[in-house]
Amino acid sequence: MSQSSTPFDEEEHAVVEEIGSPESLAAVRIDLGRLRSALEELPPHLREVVILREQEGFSYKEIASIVAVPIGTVMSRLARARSRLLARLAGEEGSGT
Amino acid sequence: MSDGDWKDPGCAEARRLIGLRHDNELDAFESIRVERHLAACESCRNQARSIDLLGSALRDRSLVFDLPEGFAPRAPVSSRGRGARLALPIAASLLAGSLLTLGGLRLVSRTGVSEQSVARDVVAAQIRANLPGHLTDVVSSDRHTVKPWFSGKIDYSPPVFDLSDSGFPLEGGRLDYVGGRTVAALVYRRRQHILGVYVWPAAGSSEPASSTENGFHVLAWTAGGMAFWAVSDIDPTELARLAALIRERTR
Repeated sequence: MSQSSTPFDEEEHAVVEEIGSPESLAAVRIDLGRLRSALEELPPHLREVVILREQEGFSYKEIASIVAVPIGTVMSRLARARSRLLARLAGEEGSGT
Repeated sequence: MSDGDWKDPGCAEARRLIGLRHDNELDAFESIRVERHLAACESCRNQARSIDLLGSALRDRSLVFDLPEGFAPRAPVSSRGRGARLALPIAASLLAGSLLTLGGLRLVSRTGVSEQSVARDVVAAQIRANLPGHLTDVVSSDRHTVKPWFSGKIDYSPPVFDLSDSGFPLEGGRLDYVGGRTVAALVYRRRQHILGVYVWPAAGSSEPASSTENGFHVLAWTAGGMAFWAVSDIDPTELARLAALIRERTR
C-alpha cells in the first residue's frame, strides 16, 4: 500500500530541509568507514529505522509496528536519518538534534 | 485522467517523495509524477541518486553495525513465509553467523545467500567501481595480462575475453566482494558505459535471468563451472549482447 499520502511527522521532519544542496549531495562518495561512524553517531531512534529498512527490508508498515510509532513518524525518521548521513558523508556538520 | 492530474509536484514535494520512491512505497500515480519531475529536475535527480547510493552502501555486507543498544521490538514480528525472515536478525549477528536473543525474540541467521542479496552486492560493487580510482586493479585490454593477474589472489581462474571486435573492449579487472566472498570482477566498456562482469565458481548451467536494482540492470547465468553476474546502467539489450558474447565462449 502506498504511503505517499501519509503526512510526515512535522516535528521530526523539520530538519530534513536543512541539509546541504542537492548538488553537494550528488557529489557524495560513500566511504564505508565514514558511513559506519555516521551510523554510530545517529540517535538510536533514527539508527533503528535505517537498519530495519535498508538492511532488513521491512516495509514502513512493518517498521511502524515493530517500533510502535505511526507510519508518518517512520517516514520522517528515515528522511531525517538519511539527511544526516548524507550531510555527514558530504563533510558537513550534522543538522539538528 | 487529465493532464491536470499529472501536475508537477514541485521540488519540495518531490524531495519528500524521493525517499518513498527509494523504498518502493509510492503508488503508481505518485511514482509517475515523481519520475516526470526527476526527468526535468537535475537537482532533485541528484538527490534521488544520493539516496540510492546511500541505500546501496548501507546494504554493503562489509558494513557491520548493530541496532541501538537496548533495541527491542515493541511489537511481535511476523514471519514472512518461505523462511525469508524467521525472526528479526541484526546485521552483526548475521555476519557472525550467530544466534542471539534480543527482546524476547530468537534471532536466527539466514542460511545461504539469496539471489536478491547477490544482486544488491554486485550493484553496490558496480557503484563503488564507478567512483574515481575504483574501477580496475589491473588495467589492460590484453586478456593474457588480466587473466594471470588473478592468479594467487583468488583460488580460481576466471574466463577473460577480448571482445573489442564486438564493441566491448576489455578495460581490466579487479577483486571485489560479493555474496560473502572475494570474486573476480572484469570490466568491459561500451562507448561511455562501464559494464562489470562478476565471476565465481558455481555448478550447473542456467539461462540468463534479468533484474534491476537502483537503476542498474543485472543479468545472471551459470555456465562452464562459473556463475556470471553482468551489471551496468547501459541499455539492457546491450548488456544482453555482452552476456551472449561471453556465453558463446564458455559453452
